[in-house]
Amino acid sequence: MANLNIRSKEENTYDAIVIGSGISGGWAAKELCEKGLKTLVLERGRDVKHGDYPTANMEYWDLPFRDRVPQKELDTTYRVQSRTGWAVNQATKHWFVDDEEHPYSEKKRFDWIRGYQVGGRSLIWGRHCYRWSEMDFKANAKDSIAIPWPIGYKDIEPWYDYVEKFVGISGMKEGLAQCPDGQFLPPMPMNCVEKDFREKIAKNFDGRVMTIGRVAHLTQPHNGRGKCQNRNRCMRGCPFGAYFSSNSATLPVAAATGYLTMRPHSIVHQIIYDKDKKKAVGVRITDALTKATKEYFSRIIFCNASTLGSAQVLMNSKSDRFPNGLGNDSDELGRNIMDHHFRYGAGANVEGFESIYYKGRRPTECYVPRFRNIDKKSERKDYIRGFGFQGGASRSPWWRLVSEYTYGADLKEAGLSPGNWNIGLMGFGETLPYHDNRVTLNENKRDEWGLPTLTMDVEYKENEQAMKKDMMESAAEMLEAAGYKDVHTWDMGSWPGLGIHEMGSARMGADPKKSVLNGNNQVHAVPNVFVTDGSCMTSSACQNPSITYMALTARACDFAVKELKKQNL
Amino acid sequence: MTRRDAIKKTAWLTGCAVSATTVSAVLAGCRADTSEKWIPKILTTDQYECVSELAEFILPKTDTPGAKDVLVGRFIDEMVNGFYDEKEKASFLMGLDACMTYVSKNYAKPTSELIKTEVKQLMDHLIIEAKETVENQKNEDDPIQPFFLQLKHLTMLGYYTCEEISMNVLVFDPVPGEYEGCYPLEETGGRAWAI
Repeated sequence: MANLNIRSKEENTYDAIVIGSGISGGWAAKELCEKGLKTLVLERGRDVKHGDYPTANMEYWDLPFRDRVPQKELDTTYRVQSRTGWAVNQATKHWFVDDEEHPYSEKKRFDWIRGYQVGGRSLIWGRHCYRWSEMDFKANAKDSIAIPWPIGYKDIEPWYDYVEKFVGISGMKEGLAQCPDGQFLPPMPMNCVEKDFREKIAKNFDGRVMTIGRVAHLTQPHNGRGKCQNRNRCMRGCPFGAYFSSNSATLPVAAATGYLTMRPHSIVHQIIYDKDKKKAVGVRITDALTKATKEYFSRIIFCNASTLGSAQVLMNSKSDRFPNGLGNDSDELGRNIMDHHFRYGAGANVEGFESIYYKGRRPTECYVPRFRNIDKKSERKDYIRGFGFQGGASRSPWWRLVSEYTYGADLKEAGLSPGNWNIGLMGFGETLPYHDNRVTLNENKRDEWGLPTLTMDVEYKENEQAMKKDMMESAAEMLEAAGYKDVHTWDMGSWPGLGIHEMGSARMGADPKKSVLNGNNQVHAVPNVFVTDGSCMTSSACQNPSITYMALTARACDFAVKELKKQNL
Repeated sequence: MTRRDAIKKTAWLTGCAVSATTVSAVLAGCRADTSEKWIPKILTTDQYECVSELAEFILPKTDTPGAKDVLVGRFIDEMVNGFYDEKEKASFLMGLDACMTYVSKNYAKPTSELIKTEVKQLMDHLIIEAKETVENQKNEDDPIQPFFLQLKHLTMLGYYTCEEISMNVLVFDPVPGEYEGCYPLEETGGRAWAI
């Protein structure tokens, strides 16, 4: 019997375990495998191999109800996922969770948008990549908000270079301190109206820029992946591998080393802590299909289950030493939840370009980097931090005519022609890390696999409200100044989670009494556990965060393996 | 070969695409069933014929196909049957019945035999009714779509996203390759891209 146990333990022992295969877990897998570590990746969802994208080449008439999902299904199966308004289509719904199978509780409205499969949400992300700046890493210290970051831009800069070179990010250099340039492939083109707007902003607003989105879309073949074909069907999975995902980029590289073991259908319950060794020794999972419990062992563990997923795993990893969750001496685990608040902005109609159109469906938009509170001149009295705009110009298709009281030959002809040019700007704003914005474990409500579910208690507060007003007003001001017509602001409402940039549940900090992770993403009290997804963020900045998670992950992997070699872990 | 055809033919060759290994059997498409034997799923034959005529009034045949040419009536039957929830379904069928009653009461002939002035009268009637419904909307969170807008929405969706119109009337470019941001509209003959 004892022998059997030893053998089974050996079979289940790896150098490293990575929990989650999304955008940061994929990076952890790649880095650790490339450094020669036998690595087990535990993914709670099903396997998805690159190319295994069933709807990628379907046309609208190939899809049920021309790609629309019936309201009844949106109200039940995709009760939460459909709150996005854009995510759940016939061509994409298989990448989003069944909300009835994966419940949680909302003390306040929280839109938890999830993709449980190999690759996670890297298959369905927005793909915008903007570096954080020194300004962002200094922000908390400057404002005496929450705690200071334990790292600065200089610590992460080489890692931005490193991951960007692998990911392949198209974009333009603009020389802005608040949104540093990176390693860019040639930019995607702006259209005529967007170029016009770029010029007018530059003329009317000193130092303000509209640039093409810096996006993880290849504008030329890169590391064996094909260039973007401008189909704009990214959300279905790209058969060309032209946008970055774990499936198309990091996991194949990890697999090619021969050191990767991918285990889908593995729902992690706990990280196993050994109080004598003062280290984590492994991970306990439930097999999603058989519901059997299994244990895997390793020297180091990377937790990349997403901001709320990782918090859930850590909180549920209770022991005598850590009665409130692994590494939670500070009581900061699950607190300080942030996202980006958005869905506020302005739009306008643009005249004078009637004979101009475009060809192709560019899969991205433009970006106006933050311009508030970046220097003395741009300081605001009503709020701290700032926001960027995503937006662009296009000619609207036939659906602009649907709600008009018209019919007949003229209507048909109008629908066959492109509509007027219009332009829109949508703000994405920084939110602050409020201590009482938190998620907790609900032991009384367990999911199908026996894991306690989460209860969300997160809200936006005064700073966000004041910033929101300025997002709308400043967008309208720029459009007015450009001379565009029918300028109108909009407020579609924003709730935590909806930005799908949730972060902060296990923040980094120098002081173990006030943070969960140190400056190397290492759990203060359990040095062989690293958390390198959005959980680690100490503030939220206003830039799309994924590229920062990637850079921090690569940096932490480098540190972890060096420590292993020094026998410090 | 037109420029468009050339693009279509070369794009797949240059893109180094991986083909999907899972052919999804779950996704039964919404491709128009063109078979002779087709029968409506939810509409009666009379209702189906009326809906097809109404769709044609909304998007009539000119030098380009009309709604009937691309079987929009069949698409509407499919959507009302499978896509609409019970409330939408009831509201659509009620609106359709009222419309048919209006036609038989005022013209005493089938919708397909209405002359031009009668069509205008009927459509104006539906529009006035729709405007009244919208103005008298009680519950703004859960608005009722008036029959005319339901019909128009389904008709336009069925027409502009179908294979025939997408490929042969709009400009179809499934794999564009490049994005050109300042493209002369005359290159597409003034037509919109199929989306």
